Amino acid sequence: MRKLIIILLACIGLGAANQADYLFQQGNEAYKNNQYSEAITHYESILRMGKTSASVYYNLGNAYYKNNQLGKAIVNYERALLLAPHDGDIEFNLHIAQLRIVDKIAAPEFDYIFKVWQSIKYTLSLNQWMLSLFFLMILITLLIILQWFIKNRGVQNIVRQVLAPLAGIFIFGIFLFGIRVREDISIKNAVILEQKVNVVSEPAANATEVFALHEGVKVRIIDRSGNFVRIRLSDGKDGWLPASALEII
Amino acid sequence: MKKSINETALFILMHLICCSTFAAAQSLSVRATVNQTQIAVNQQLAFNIELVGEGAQKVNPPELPDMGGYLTFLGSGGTSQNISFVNGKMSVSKSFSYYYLAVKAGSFTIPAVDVIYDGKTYSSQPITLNITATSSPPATVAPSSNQSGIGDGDDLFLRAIVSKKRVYQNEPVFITFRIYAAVSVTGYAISAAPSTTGFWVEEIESPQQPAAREEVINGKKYVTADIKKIAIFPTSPGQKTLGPMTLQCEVKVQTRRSRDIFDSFFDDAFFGRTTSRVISSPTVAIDVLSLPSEGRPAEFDGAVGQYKITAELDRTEAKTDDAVTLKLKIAGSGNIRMITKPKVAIPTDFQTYDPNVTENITRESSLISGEKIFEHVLIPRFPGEQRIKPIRFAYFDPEARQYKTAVAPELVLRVTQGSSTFTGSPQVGLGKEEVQYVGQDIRYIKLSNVRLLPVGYRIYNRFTFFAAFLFPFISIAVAFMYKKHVDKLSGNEAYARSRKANAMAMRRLSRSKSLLEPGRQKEFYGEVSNALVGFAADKLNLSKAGIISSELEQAFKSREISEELTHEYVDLIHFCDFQRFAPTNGSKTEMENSYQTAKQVIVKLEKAL
Repeated sequence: MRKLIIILLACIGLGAANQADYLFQQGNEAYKNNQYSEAITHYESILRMGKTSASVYYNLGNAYYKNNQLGKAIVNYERALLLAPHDGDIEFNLHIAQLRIVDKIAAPEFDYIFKVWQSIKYTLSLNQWMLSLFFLMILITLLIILQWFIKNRGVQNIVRQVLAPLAGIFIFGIFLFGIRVREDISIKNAVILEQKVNVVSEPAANATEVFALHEGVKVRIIDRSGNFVRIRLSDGKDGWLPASALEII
Repeated sequence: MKKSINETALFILMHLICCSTFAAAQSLSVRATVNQTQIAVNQQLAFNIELVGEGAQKVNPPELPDMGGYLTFLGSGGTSQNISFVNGKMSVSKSFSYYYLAVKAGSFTIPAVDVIYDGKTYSSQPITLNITATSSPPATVAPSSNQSGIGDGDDLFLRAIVSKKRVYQNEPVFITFRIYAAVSVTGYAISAAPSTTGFWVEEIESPQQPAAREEVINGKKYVTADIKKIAIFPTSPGQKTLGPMTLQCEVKVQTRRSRDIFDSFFDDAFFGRTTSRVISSPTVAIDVLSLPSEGRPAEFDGAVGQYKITAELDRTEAKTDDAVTLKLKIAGSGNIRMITKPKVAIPTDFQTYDPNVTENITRESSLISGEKIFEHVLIPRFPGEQRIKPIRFAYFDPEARQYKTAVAPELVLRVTQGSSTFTGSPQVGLGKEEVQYVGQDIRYIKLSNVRLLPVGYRIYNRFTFFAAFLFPFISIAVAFMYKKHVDKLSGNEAYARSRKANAMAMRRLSRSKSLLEPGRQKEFYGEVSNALVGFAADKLNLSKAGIISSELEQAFKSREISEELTHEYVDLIHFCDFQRFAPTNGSKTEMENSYQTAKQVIVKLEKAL
C-alpha cells in the first residue's frame, strides 16, 4: 500500500527518471535502517517501472541477502554482473553468497587458452561491447575518409598503417560480439530459489529422483516441457525440475 | 549315530598298511582292487581305488569306470587316508571305496581307472570279474557256516519321498529319506549324502533317534524310520536329478534256532552277530519349470514363495546428523536366503551406509520360513519433511502361479535443525581460498545510481543498432564520390567547365529575364546570346572569345549532335546577335519567345551531350 502511494506521489510530482531515483534513495534509506524487506519493496518497484541498473540489482541482491533469501540474492548479483562485469563489489558479494550454498558443485577445469578466451569474451557487458564497437567503427570510417584527402604522402602512410590493425580488431570484435549475442539469446541460466528441490529423471511429478539441489545453485536451462524445465549443472549432471523452483537470471 | 565296524573297512585298512610298506617309490601309483572276483548276481562288490606315493593326499576322487551294465553303483564307502613314517620316510596313501551290485551274469572286465595328478595320468590295472547267474538265492550271499537268512533287497530298502516332482525354479522340494526294514537293524550310517548339483539345499533337522513306525507293504510288515529330511531349491530350470543317498546298515544276522541256552542268550541285538549291508535310495528326477516371463514386475529378483514386507523407522522425528534406522523386514516362506535387498528410494539428503542384513530361518518338515531383515542407518543432513517412497518387493507365488508385489507404505521423517548448522553459516569443507571469506559480511550497497536503463535492454534489439552500421557505408560512399569529383576538378579543366556550364548559363538567363522590358532589348539579347555561346563553349571546352558559328557547327558535328538541333541553336544565336544591333525595338512577345527557346535549346543540348 505504502509502495503504491509512493509511486502515485512520484508519478504526480516527478518525472520517470526522478521517480526511480527517489525510490532508489528510499530503498537505500531503508537498507541503512536495517529494514531489508522495505528496501526490497523499493528496489523491486524500480524494476517494475521497467528501469534498472547494475546498482539497483546489486543493492537488491544485498537486501535479499540480509533478508536471508539466498537464491534471490544470487539471481540479482548475477544480473548486476551482466550489466557491470568485473565490478569488484558485485563479484565479492556474489562470492560470499555462494559460500552459503549447500551444494558444492565442482566447476569444470579449463585449460589456459580457454580461460583467456573467456576473459576476453566477457571483458565487457553486451551493451559496452556494442558501444565500443560502434566508436571503433566511427574512428575507422573517419580515418578512411581522412587518408583520402591528406595531401602529404608521409602522413597518409602513417594513417593507413594505423588503419589496418584497427580494422583487424574491429572484425575480431564483431565476431566476439556475435558470439555474445548468440549466447545471450540461446543460453538461459537460472538460480534455484527453493530451499530444496528434487531433480527428477523425467518431466513428471512421480518420476524417479536423480539428485537434490538447494537454494542458490546456478543452473543452465536446456529444455522445457510443461511446468518442468530441464537443467544442467556445471559438472554435467542433468535432470528435470519444476519451473517454479527457479528464476531465470 | 553308531557307526559299526565293517569287514570291508578292515580289509581296506589291511590293504593300506600293506601298500604303505611298498610306498618307497616317490611317484604316484594307482591300484584298483575288488573284494572278490567271483561273484553272483545280486551280490555286492566292494571296489577300491588306492593311491600311493607323492601327492596321493591331494588327488581328487577319480572318475569311476563304466561298468557296462554288469554292475550298478550303490554308493560310496568314503575316503580314507593314511600317512606313515617308515625309517624316517613319509609315505602317503589314499583310498576311495565304492559299492556295486552285480546285476548281470557274465565275464566282465572293470576297465582301468585313470587318475590325473600334476598333469600326468596314472592308471590302474583292469580287473576281470566272473559274475555267475543267480543260481543261489540271496540268502547264500555270504555262505558263512551259521549265518544265513539275511533279507534280500525287499527286506531292507531306502526310499526318497518327494513332496513335488514338478516345481518352479527356486520353489522348494521336500525330500524325506525313509528306511524300510523287515529285518532288525541295529545301526546305520550315511555313507554318501545325495549329490545335489543344481540345487541349493536346506537341511531339516531330524531327531537324533528317529521315531520308528510300522508300515505294511504288499502284506509284508516293515519298520520304517525317517532318517533324513532335506529341502532342495532348484536353481535353474530343466530336468534335474537328485543323486542317491547311500546308507550303511548293521543288520542282525538271523541265526539258526539253537537249543543251546547260551546261544539263545546271545541271540539279541547286543550280543548278536551283525553283518553290514549297503542300501541306496533311488535317484529322484525333478522337472523344474522356469518362471513365467509375462507379468514379471520390474522389481522382481528371484524370490519365490509367499512374503510380506514391513518397513519402519525407529523414530518419526529427528534432528540433523542424528542416526535413524530404517528397518526393512521381509518375512514369509520360500527361498529366504536368496532374497536380495529391495530398492529403497532414500532421498539424497540422507547420508546412508550399507545395510546390515540378518536372516532368521525356521526349517520345518514341509515349510522353510523365516525373515530377512535389512537395517539401514540414515543420517539426515537437512531439516524438513523427508519422505521415503513406498518400498516394493516382488515375488513369485508358486501356489497362485503368478507374480505378486508386497508394498511397505511410505515413511515420513520430520527433520529439525540439530546443533550443527548447515544453513545460515558457511558449510564445512571449504577450499583454502574460501576460508578467508568465512565470516565476512557482504559489502555495502551502492549509494549513487548511475544511469537507468530499461529492464532487459539490449542494444542489438534496436533499430538504431542496424541503422548505426549503415553510417560508415554511407559516409564512406559519399566521401568516395566527393573525392572523385575533387580529383576531376583539380586534374581536368574541361570537366570543371562542363560541370559549371549549366550553372553559368542559368545565371545568365535569369539575368536576361530581368531585362525583359521593351526599352532594354539590346541588353536582353546580349545576355541570351552570351548564355547560349558560353554554355556551348563551356560544355565543349572552346575559347569563348571570338567564337564564330562555323566553329560551333564544326564542334557540334564532331560530338554527333543532330543537325536540326545545331541549326536551331546556331540560328537562335544569329537571331539574338541580329536583334542586338537592330535599330528597331522588338516586341515583348518576341523577346519572351526567344527567352523560352533559349532555355529549351540549352536543355536539349545538355541532354544531347
